[in-house]
Amino acid sequence: MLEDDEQGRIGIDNKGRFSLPTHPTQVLAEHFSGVRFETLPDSVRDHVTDVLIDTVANAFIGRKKPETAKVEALASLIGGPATATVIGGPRNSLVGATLLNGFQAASVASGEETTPLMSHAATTVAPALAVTEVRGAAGGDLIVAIAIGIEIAGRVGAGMNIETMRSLFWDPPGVLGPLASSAAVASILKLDPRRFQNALSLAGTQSAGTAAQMGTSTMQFQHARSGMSGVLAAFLAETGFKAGPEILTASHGGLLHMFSDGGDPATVIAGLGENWLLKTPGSFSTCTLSRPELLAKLRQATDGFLSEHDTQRAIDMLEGLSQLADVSALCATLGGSQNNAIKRSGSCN
Amino acid sequence: MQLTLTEELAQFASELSYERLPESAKQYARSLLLDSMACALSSDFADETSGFADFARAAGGAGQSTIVGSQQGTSLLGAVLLNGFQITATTICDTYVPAHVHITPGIIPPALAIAERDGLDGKALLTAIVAGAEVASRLAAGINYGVAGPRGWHMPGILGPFGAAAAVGRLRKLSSAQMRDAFGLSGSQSGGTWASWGTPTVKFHQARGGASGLLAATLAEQGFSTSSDIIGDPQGGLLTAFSDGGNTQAIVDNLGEHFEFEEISLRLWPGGTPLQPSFTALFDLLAKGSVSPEQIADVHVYVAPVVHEAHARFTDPQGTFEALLSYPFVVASALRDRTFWLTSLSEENLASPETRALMSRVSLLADPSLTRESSRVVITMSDGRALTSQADLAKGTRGNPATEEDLRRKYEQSIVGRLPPSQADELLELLARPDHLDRLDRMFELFRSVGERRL
Repeated sequence: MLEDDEQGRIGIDNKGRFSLPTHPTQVLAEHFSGVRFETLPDSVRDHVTDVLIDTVANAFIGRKKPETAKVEALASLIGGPATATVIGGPRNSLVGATLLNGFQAASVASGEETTPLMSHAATTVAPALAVTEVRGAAGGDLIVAIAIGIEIAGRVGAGMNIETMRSLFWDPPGVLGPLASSAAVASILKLDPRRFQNALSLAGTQSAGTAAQMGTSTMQFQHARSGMSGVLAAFLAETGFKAGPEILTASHGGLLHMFSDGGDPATVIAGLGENWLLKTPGSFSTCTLSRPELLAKLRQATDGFLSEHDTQRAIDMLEGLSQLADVSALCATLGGSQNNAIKRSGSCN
Repeated sequence: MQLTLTEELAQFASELSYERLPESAKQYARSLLLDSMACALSSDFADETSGFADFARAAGGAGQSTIVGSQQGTSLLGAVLLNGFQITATTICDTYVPAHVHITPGIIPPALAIAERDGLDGKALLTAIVAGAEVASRLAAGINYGVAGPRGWHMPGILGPFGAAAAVGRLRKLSSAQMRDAFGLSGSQSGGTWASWGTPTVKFHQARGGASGLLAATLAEQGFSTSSDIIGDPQGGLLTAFSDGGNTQAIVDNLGEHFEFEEISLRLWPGGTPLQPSFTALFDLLAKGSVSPEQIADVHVYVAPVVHEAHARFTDPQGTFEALLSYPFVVASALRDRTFWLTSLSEENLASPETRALMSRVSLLADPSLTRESSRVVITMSDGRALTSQADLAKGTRGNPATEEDLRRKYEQSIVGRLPPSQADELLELLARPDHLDRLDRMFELFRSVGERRL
């Protein structure tokens, strides 16, 4: 058996295959902690904008779902001061808004015609938006965060083999969502590689959720919760809290073993820095709607929440997100007139 | 209609009443409260507590829920996270040994937080503690840790949510159906592996488990729908997702008559659970006569192979967390001082040449004849004499229980310098007999009065 070199770059995976390298968590952290808006390909930026528009639209639609009020009650009871925007609703705590926006979006995404990992968007967009708002980060930071979150979830999912995970009755968004969320938030917090790595480990240790909840709203709660888990993970890592270095492939408790059959660690980091999986044709997060279709969906979704003027304002800011020094104006617009439905005529109920 | 496994356990937790609790259950719940608060009061000795407090406040925000040792409140979520971490921070909290799971960090903080918020009395609090501890212990007994543990699963984040949900649900008077849903929502958050063994993240699992249970019970109270049998469902239920189907009888047999939570062990010495039998053997030996460290040739500590595998690498501990997992360090300190407490974890002691020299003479060895619960210490003196002591059960376990005096001493060691003596005595009496209290306000007021340690 080959020995690891000092950087753990050489090794044998659990199926006896030669693989490079054996510490994918570390490699992911080292790579993604250094990603900045300027280095994102245009195609990735555009794709993230599509994901964001779709998720925001879903969140408005989900705002009206009957179970949303129950999650809102939860969020209001457990969290602190209302510092973060809820899409289409009254402000809530950072954690509360993460849960609520995530639930609102997930309650629609999983039922729509979409690829499996689009439901992951809720687990990434909701926490990323909340933390960007509360920490005063820029629009470009939000784009990077969402890109990184979806990319990491997709890569780990590919390495884990989602179908194998499902055959074991694990729920992929519940398992991968914390990793996506923590990566997104870690990016906004600009954590160094070691803390980024700890954030991933702290997130992976909250991976949870099974298909036993199929047919209940708890499936969507699992997705929303996974977004919250990522916030906890990244915030705790920010303080310097230490976690196990290799959450993905640790011999005792590594996620590729725990939620699958060991998977293929090399897949997790294949082509890192060269390819963005989220833009690979036919990949897990291919958006099925064109930009015009997404915008039409958003316009329809805001009916009852935002005036036409504010809807257009939101669209302009979403499409021009990279120009925003912070997202406070965007969030204020998405919060809408919180207690009154706005009819298209502009009058209130 | 036959109840599912989850429904049966939920019904038990929902219908548990103070009046029907046997005295032994009440007394052990009192012990768990006192012990867990003693642990929380000692948390300032841990390196990570301050940073974790920053995290809990950032994640939880400001609020009215009491943090033990702070005048500044936080939200329910923040309080459950931070108080939970404080209980486990110094590696001296309880353990349900058969499943290697710490119970109180997950259930006591949410129970306290809800009792405080709702202005409940001590009987309600005590009943909630029993509900939470019993649900968690029953699941621990039934999950078959012999399969789940080797697979890599770490129980506090998996079972903790259920215990916390049961405690909160009892306080909120959830119906059986709501409690079932609370358990369903708990199971949807069950997670946590041994990948972070050797780091404080294993303690985060415990605090997070409590937070998850709080979420679960609170959402269930809103009428949120979940799986009807999260424990027994063959496709993603607790017993099959994390184990081999477990032992369902251990979970539901004799509910309300036999209380499994009375098997939870308490720790009288800071240090990993497996170290407790070694401490017991060592201090039993020291009680029999003087052993001068200068005359010790070597010390062999024998433990079960699985314990050896987990702890052998901590020969050169860095910081308090590793020190409490290090046999050479704890044994050397105990031999030198004839006592071992958190004050032994000073930087000075960790770096002391005298301690390090004695550590070099301490060896941890595996003995397949020993169980996790037993240990043997053999001290060979320079004149060739061998002094031997074996503990088959650690002090603090059901078969070798901690006395009320032991727990009071632990509390006094924890609180010294943090409250004026009169207030420390007052708090001790409130914690020792909480069910005698019509109101808990004074207890929370004293928690908030606990200050920085001044010795």
